[in-house]
Amino acid sequence: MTAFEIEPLDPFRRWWGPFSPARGTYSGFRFHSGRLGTWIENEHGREFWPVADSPGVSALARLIRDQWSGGRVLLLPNGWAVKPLQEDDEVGQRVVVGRFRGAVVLQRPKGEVFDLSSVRGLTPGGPWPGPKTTGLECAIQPDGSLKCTWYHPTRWGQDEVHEKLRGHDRELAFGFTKARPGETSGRVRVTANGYVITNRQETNGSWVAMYVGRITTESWLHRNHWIGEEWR
Amino acid sequence: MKTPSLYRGTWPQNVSRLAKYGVRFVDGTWKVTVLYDAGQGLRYLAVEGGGGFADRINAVKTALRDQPGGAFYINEYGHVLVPIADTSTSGFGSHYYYEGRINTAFTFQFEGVPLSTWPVGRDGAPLKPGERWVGPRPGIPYVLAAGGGDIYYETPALTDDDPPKVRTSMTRKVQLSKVLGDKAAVERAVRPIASVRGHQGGRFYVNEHGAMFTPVESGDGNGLDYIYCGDIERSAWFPEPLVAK
Repeated sequence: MTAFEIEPLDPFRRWWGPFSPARGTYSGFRFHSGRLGTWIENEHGREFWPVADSPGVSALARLIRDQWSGGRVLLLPNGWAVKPLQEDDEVGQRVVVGRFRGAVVLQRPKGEVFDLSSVRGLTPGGPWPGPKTTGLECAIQPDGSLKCTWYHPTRWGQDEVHEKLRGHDRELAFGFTKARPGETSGRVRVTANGYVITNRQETNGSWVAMYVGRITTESWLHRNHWIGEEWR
Repeated sequence: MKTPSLYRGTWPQNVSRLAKYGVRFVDGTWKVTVLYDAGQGLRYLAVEGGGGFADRINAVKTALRDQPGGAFYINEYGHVLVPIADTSTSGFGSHYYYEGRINTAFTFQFEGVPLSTWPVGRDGAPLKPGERWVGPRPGIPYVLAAGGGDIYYETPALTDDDPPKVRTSMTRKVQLSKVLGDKAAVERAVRPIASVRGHQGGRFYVNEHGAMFTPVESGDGNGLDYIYCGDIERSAWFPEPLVAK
């Protein structure tokens, strides 16, 4: 896969499309000490893996920091980079800042890299060695299709949208049942470069990330009305 | 007949068979009926009179190319809602149309005793909150939020057009706290339900008289009992949805 590039949207636009990242202060892609990356929990505790520096990554970081100083960013599997707004009166609003292409490469603390576009040695149902909180959360159905639910706040409550983002996929369905034997549907996460993962609960209660399968970015649903009005 | 319009308020959607009225062909005529839990099984009870009303429901059904007969609802504003099976790809099984208003109350006969949907006991004496609901149970579902501090309903989102259309795959959640913006009023609204359901919250129903009742596990461990919670206070409730005149 090519190196990471970002094509900014100017001006930014409101995002009305899928947005269901993992919850929590240390989940997903976010800025830490000025760098975009993600937190990993492992036997050493919690580590920050920044996205390896490149002109494209610097451009994305600049785009975000110039406007918001940091926070989190969702990199969707079909290339849209979405920023949730942070002010109290903006809760639940999102802005699409641009479209990325290319590999998202993470820098591990000891120097080696983890390329989210090319992970070696994966087998459906086997362990996932990468970050387990990035990507878009979906519900896989018994036929391998992916459904997503997200919401937009309204004056009186919220509007909740349910969409099937991908149709049936035998390989994904197979991978899910290998990852979580005895289950045919459940929560999965679709990462920036298309890997699909799920968390499996072990007998000791801990959660382990498992690899389910991979999708191509072209197979991902996009609706034009998801990109809305100009932001500001 | 004017083409019926989609209803802008709550659509009951998935409720028990006992939570709706129905129009059925009984003894050679269309009648308003209700399914009633008679203790030893379910029975359809036909409303006393009400033939003209059944015709009103059937007129909506046939105007929208559905079969005559079937479910309908009456909400706390006296609005009559008629579900019509949806053949589009909206993602919702039925679309709910506004038929009009009703100002009369139905009464039914069960074993020689009149039954109504007013909050009264078998002897006709008013029920007190906390007592078992004995009448038929058609109603509109609402939810006491977990924590017991708010009430909300969820319904398919409609466009702002006139007449409105369904927004595909979008559900709207409306919270009483946001509608009222008055903490004291919200507290008055939730208190009668929370006193039965507690902090866990859960579903309750409001019928055409504004009576609230909620299912709880029966004391003998067999099924559910419905408990009367009191009546809604109209000044601390969702505003009446806009309807065509």
